[in-house]
Amino acid sequence: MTILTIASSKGGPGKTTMAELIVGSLASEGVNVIALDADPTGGLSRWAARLYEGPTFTCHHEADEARLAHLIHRVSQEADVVVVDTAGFGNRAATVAMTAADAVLIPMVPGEGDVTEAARTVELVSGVASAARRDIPSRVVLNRVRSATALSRHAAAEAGPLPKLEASLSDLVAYGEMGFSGRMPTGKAGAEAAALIAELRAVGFLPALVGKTASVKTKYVRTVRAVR
Amino acid sequence: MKSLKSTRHAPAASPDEMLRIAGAAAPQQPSAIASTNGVTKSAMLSVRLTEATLEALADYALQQGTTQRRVIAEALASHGIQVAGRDLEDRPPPRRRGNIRT
Repeated sequence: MTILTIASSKGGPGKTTMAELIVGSLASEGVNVIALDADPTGGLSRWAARLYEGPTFTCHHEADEARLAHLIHRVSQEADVVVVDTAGFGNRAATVAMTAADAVLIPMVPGEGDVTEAARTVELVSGVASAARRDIPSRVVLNRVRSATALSRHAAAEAGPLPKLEASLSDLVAYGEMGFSGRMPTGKAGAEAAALIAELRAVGFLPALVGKTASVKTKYVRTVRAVR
Repeated sequence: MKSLKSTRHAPAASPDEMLRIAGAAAPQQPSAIASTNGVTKSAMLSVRLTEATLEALADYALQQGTTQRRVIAEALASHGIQVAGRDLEDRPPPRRRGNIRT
């Protein structure tokens, strides 16, 4: 079982999009994945319940840190992969999700504020790892990249000292469409998603596949909304 | 289901341990949602805005299939303001201009 937390202390770098992409891609492969939406705005759980069209996965929505800790502990015994999406501001639920994580993915869009906040998030993960007395690796992943622009090159250079993935997501309409259609992107966006998953496996953020694909049931997603 | 190799090297922490570690690493951080402490009483907030803003809010809520109240609550939460969980739930259907665009 692997817990992958997607976090950033800044709003808007594409955490929920990244979570949708990873969870949807893993479910399509037949991986037993559970999504946890720790963002009080509930973007991931709403997408999973209302829009997602693909193989089944369970999505829980819980932004209270104490209940989230218990939920992570419970679902980590039920799934091969748990993906936790967090809110875009410093909050206890996000830190609990980092504490429970085997790895933390930090999306970053090109921008001065985004580089600064990505660095802060890397630092926070490092602090959590020290407090937990175990290694919690983190990687920044560039999102909404316009490869031919000086801005994207500059932002990538500014984020140079931070641990980064080679894979990145371009500024493509397909990702926005996924948020409305509930379908996994194809074409260039699909290839980028596949490259991201492959690199996450290569760096040990996701478990490597061994064995053959089992039959994948395409059915409605089961979303569990915590009662408050 | 596919067979997977685990990447986990250390045993999972207990929920209490997770909370303790998170508190030690970032003691100043607030909860993501406001604690209501059992208080569920609601109150009105009246804010005067230009009609264009209200039209845009109504359009957005309609497009998202949610309520204007929830759009506002989500916007507050995304700025780090502690919003009670029940204020982030979808409850009544959109009322301003109804459910159907005319």
